[in-house]
Amino acid sequence: MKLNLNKAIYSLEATQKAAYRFIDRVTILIEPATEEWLCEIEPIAGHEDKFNDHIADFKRELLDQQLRKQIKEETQDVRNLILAYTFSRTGLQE
Amino acid sequence: MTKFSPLVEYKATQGQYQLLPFKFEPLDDHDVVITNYVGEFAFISREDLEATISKKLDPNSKIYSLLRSLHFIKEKGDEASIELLGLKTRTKYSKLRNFTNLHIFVVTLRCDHSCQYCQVSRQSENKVAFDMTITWLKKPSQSSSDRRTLPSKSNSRAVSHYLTSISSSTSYSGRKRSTKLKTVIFNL
Repeated sequence: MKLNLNKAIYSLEATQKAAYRFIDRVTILIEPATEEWLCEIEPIAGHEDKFNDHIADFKRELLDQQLRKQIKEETQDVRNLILAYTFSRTGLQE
Repeated sequence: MTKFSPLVEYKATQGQYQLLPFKFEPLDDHDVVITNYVGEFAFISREDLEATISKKLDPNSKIYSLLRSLHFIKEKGDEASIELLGLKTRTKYSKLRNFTNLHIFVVTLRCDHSCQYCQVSRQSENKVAFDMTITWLKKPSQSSSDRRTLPSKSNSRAVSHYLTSISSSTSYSGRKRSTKLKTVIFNL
């Protein structure tokens, strides 16, 4: 089965992370095209019966991973600030 | 003239908050659990999660108060949130200040006992290659760049080296104890 993902909506990072979460159920090959990520999805032996369920779950996971990426990018500065405060004056830095 | 401004003056306006670092994991089709790295967590619906991220949470809602009190979001001027998260993270990782409290020197693998609790893969008494050399003994306290020059195999030593190693271990550790302020307990 082939799934085309719009690059403007789904990043490579989110696509790869979502694919990795399903590594025990389906194999997903990701190829770049001009404006899309082309995903070729095949079930792993023993998971053929629930292949359509896995595809539906993979699509949900794609959205979740994209959302996680958005949170990560938006909170990057404040995360660094918190960690700087946490490890300040600890002597752990070189 | 009233002493305080009306309540509306103290309420945040919609969308005027900032996300703090957190992760989420779906529990089922409708709910997710959100966590941050100091261990705070909350079970919320997917609708609330999406509203939180897209800054559409109602400042008067219970979910807004919950997420703000658990440091998942902060309003402008909430500098205490960052300091509290830093403080909690600092406490959580405070064990790093006493990094590696236990050192075990396995000076030889040669042993004629077969105790069930022992973690060592014991060797016969003539396998001297499994003895620790003095060079190896001193390596842990040296720099990581020095560690790359370690020999691939231990040098063979005589049986008497076993006792020499223990003696050297205890005296060497004793010196480190005084210079590095480490508590060293010998169990021989």
